[in-house]
Amino acid sequence: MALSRDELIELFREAPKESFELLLRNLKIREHLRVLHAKHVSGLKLSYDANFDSIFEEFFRFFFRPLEAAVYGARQLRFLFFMFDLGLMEFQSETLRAYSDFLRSWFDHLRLTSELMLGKVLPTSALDVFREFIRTHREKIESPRVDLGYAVEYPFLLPKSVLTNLEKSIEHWERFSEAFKEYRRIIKETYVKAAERFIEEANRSRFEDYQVFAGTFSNFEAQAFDEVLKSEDYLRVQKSMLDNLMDYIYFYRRFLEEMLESNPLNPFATVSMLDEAFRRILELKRRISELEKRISEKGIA
Amino acid sequence: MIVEKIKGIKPGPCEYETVYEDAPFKLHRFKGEVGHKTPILVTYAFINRPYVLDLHRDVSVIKLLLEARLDVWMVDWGYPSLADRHLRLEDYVEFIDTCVGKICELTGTDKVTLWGYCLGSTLAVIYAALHPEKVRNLVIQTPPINFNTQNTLAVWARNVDPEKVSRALFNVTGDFLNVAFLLVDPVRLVIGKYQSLLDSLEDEKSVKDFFYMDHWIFDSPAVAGKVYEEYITRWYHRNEVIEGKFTVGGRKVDLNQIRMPLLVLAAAKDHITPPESVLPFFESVPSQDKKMLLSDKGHIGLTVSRSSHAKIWPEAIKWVVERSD
Repeated sequence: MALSRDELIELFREAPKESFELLLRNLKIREHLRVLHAKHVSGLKLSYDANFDSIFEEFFRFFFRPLEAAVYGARQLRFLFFMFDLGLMEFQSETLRAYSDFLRSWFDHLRLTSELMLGKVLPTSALDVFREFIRTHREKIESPRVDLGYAVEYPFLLPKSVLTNLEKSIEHWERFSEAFKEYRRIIKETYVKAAERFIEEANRSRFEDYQVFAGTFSNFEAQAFDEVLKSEDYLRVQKSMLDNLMDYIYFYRRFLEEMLESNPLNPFATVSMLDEAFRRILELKRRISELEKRISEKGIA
Repeated sequence: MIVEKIKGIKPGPCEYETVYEDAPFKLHRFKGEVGHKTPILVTYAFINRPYVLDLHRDVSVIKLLLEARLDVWMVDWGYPSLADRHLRLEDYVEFIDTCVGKICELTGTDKVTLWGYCLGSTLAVIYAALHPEKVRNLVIQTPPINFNTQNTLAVWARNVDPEKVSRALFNVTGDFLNVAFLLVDPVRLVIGKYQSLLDSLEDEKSVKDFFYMDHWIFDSPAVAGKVYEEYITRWYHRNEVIEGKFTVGGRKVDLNQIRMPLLVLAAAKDHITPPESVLPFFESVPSQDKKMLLSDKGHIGLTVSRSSHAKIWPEAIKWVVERSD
């Protein structure tokens, strides 16, 4: 039974978002299973086709999505990493130097042109004010490192631990991405093998009833996953994926936090600072409660 | 329309008042006529919300207890925030003691029936072993006391490094835990369950039951980071409770102190806390008056299935009532 568009919108408002998502995915799964069942009852042999692949995608999207979000979300790290690439920094500093030479020439051009023009229309005293203005600004433009070179030296201003955290987060993200690929492979292989066993069974038997057909498919898959989820391979990959994902999150957050913490202009407390404050408050609360208990016991005695 | 069937679904039909609060924890007292001397204190698991015991009128265990004229109190562990990340298991045990103190003060009794559910049972057993003089009866429902079991969830828990998780996430979010709970049995929980719903969209009662349950499943609080570390390390990795190595504030939790009447409610198809999670405990504690009721349902089915309400609950409540005066 399909749900109308209006019903789905209303359902989204009433149901938990997870239920809504899983229901939508199961509607799609049902469409594919119906197609396979129709093929089966018409006497055609089943084979592993795009319908099975689509069922797989709908089935595991709920679980893969947060992991994929971590894989893709972390791509920003690569851009950050470029900022600290020394070769790139050298290249950037040459560009900046050329740009400052251009600015200096442009400045001189404007100065000379203005002096010529001003000498004709303004009194000499006004010209002196202009020259003074030019003199002070010339100092700035003569030392471009203050304004422009700063950007390329930024990494040297940061504590070493900032860069170490960034490096570690990249390292764990790469390991996590590898483990996730392997994880996806194990899940897909398990699914495909069980689907193939179901196909053999379906081609040997005849399931007139759709629910029996769909139920048999689910049973084959469920049994296969019951086995694999406790297998050594699965446990190893799941552990590596989770450990590295957690380390990536931790080190990346510490990288951002330490950058903020080392900047005297930063007006914000980081979440780690708050965490430490909450730890101390809770510890004090425990001590107060212990003292209150002792006082109350003495009072009773 | 499916939406018409689920509009206005609101779990928790039994009324209660909040008697005491120490954020994020609360103590509730259900409203009802009291006809027995010993109050019941329900301690639910800190990884879900306790209203599964009062999901809706047809399957409310709380309603049955109130109808039996029992004085029902319940601990609500709340929704821990960043401010609560350093809570420890001993804070939970301490809060149970505070609740027992409040109940005794307000009702003029000196003992309660302590009723634990899932991880709330583990806390209840620890409390009962530390303060046996304050526990008249101990009821534990789908209790994990022995964590060395072979169900997928236990195998995974032994394979997790909880410090890495807590360090990265601070508190372990409900979403994170939900993914794990669904992934232990992905085909049945993600496909089977929803395909069954699609098969019965015309049946109003089935649709309502389904969404009552899903509202509860996905209303999942975070677990305080340090509690998560302790519960995975000390309970799953080291199995400290059943091995007599668990301590609270320096005091060893001695299960030989469980001498009060004991009722165990277990579920044969429980994939979270299978019967093996409690059998060694049930067999070894010295309590003389002990009984086990085994349902043929799963972890939650024991509470909300109509068959459990027909067979298990009348017997369980009779057992409590007989020991409440």
